[in-house]
Amino acid sequence: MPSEQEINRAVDRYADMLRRICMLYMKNEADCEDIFQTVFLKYLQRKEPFQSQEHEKAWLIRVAINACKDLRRSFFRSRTLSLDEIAEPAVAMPSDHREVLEAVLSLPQKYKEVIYLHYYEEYTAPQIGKLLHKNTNTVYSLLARGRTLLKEKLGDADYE
Amino acid sequence: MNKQIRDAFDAVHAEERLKAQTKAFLHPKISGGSPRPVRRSSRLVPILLCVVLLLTGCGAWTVFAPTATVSVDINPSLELVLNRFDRVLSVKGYNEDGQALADSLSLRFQSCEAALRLLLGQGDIAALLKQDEELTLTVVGGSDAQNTRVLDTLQTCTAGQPNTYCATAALQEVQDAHALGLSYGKYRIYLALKEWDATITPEEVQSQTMRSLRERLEALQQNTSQPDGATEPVSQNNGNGQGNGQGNKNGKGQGPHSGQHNSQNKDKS
Repeated sequence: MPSEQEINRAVDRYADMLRRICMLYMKNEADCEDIFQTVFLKYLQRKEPFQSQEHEKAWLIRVAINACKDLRRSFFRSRTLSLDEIAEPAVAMPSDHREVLEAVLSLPQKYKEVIYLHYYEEYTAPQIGKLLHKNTNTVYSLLARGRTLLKEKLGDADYE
Repeated sequence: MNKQIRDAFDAVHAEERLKAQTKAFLHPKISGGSPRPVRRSSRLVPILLCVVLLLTGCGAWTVFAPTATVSVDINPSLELVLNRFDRVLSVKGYNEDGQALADSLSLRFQSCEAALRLLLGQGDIAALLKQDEELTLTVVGGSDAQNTRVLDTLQTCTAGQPNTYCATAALQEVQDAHALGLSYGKYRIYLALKEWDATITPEEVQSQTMRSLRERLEALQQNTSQPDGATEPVSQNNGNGQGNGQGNKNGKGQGPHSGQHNSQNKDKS
């Protein structure tokens, strides 16, 4: 089991990454808290050591995405709407790049996750395929279609 | 597009509050050492507890459930209630003498044999036996195996003792006897007497010794050619008994239950 120091280091190092993944899937902060707790609890319970920092990061991304999907699919959530969602429909976005961020987040789920993983986390299509359990060609298609949609939303001229 | 997307996501940071909450959530799990799922062995604890309780309950039931009764009649009339291991669970007196005797001896949880030896060695009973009083011991209500076992014990305990009768009987008869306030030995002789003298009451039988009752029966049999109840059955138990026993008081006390009860160790004819 990792020590408290190791856990705190992991929280500090990966909190921003998890926050971005939560932003892709979740609409309120309470859900983000749930995802943080679920992911780091699994991290704490993991017995095998990570082979590298890249391995650790990829593992956390996969666990976080699965946790988000599980929470969205959960029985309770599928039949209720939290007060937070009514009061604050989206998580707070930084004002500087609000337009781009809103455009990415407004894409259908299957596009925004590959866009994020490719353009921000710099994973290749085969790596994304492994992370999301998708065929590589499917990932290429999703990336191309997502890019097209994004250009349409943001205007071709500025974002070529 | 690469840069714009990168810059947009770069501006997203986890709130310090969120990090602190996550660390606070994880802290007790690290220090308490209990983040792992509950072990299978821990889940077994309540199941094992239930099994232990069940076994304890079954054990208690096995030990404390009455399975057979030994009726002791001389004039003190009492009954020893036995469990399946032939241990005495309780003693009940069926007349004043019997109750006094039950109170004076500590027979609970003794083996049947030890309890009988204590009873037979007790001053009043020993004195009555010396005066040629009649002692009837009947084992009732147990399984066939227990009845045979206890009957053997009764015969062993009374071996060489004159005027003692050992037998087994059916549970229904004992219930009928108790309904009249009689121990089983007295109930049998009451039934036999009632055939010859319809006026006899259970209260009369309760207060007399077995020998006086037996003598009264013998007198009635000699003086009367036909029993009062000869034309109709005396009770519903007529001939239904399952008892058996051994004894040497042959030819005496022949009533409707004569097949159930044979005397033993009668040394005078």
